[in-house]
Amino acid sequence: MNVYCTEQFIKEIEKLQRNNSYSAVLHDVCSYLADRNIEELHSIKDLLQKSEGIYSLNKYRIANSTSNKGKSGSYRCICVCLPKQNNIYLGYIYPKTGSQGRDNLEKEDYKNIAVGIQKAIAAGDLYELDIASKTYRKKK
Amino acid sequence: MSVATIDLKIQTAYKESEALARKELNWQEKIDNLLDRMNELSGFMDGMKNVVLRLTFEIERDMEGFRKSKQAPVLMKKLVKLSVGMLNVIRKSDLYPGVKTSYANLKQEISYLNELLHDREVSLALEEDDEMKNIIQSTLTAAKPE
Repeated sequence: MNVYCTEQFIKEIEKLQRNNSYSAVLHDVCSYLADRNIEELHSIKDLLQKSEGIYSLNKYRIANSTSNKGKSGSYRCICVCLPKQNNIYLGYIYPKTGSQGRDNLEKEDYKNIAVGIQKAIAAGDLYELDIASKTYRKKK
Repeated sequence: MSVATIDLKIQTAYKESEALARKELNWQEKIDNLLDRMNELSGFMDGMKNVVLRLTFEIERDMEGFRKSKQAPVLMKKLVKLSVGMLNVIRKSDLYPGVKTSYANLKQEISYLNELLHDREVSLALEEDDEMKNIIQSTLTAAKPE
């Protein structure tokens, strides 16, 4: 499975990592993805939009390992899954609670994230995330 | 699971919440004994949290049924309204300083329930959105292997 991130996603990750409460965010995201394959991620229940077997816009709830708040207070990660290409594109992440916590996203927010991912794919402006080493680098 | 099953689960949760809400008077009226009142309140909050947790678990198991159900949003809105009402009573109570942590946990779970409801609406709206259909098509074109 290839995991790609948009510039926006990397910015959010770096911003969160500077805060002690969210310092393990990249680790948490990689652990979450490492436990699942593309089909699971495509059909995962936190689903916003789906074309069966082709495209899905998903919202994953990823537990914050530095707190014990469980799912309700976890990170929300918005991404696009393209199972045929075996690709997943992470577009945005935010914590639900804490100093950088934010409210629910609206329809237009999700559309903007989906557009951001589409533009990043078209321009080749993506980062590759290596979930084993928990590192990322600009896609060549 | 089916739409009927998920409707039944939500209906049950709502009835349980209503029963708990009726009992809520106990901890407000036992004014003579602070400990009794605190025990009643803690019992109420534990009960309410269990109802909410069970319901979110059931919904997560069958998001598709939850999306399709016409009754689910109506019942859920009633349940959230009832729960928020209860939270307001607790917030104004003299016992509140003693249950701040449990209060925060319960509030968070109710807020999660509300988020599921919100996401359901967003999901249905996105499904009908023509612009979103174009975005999907453009994404598939851009990601096509050369």
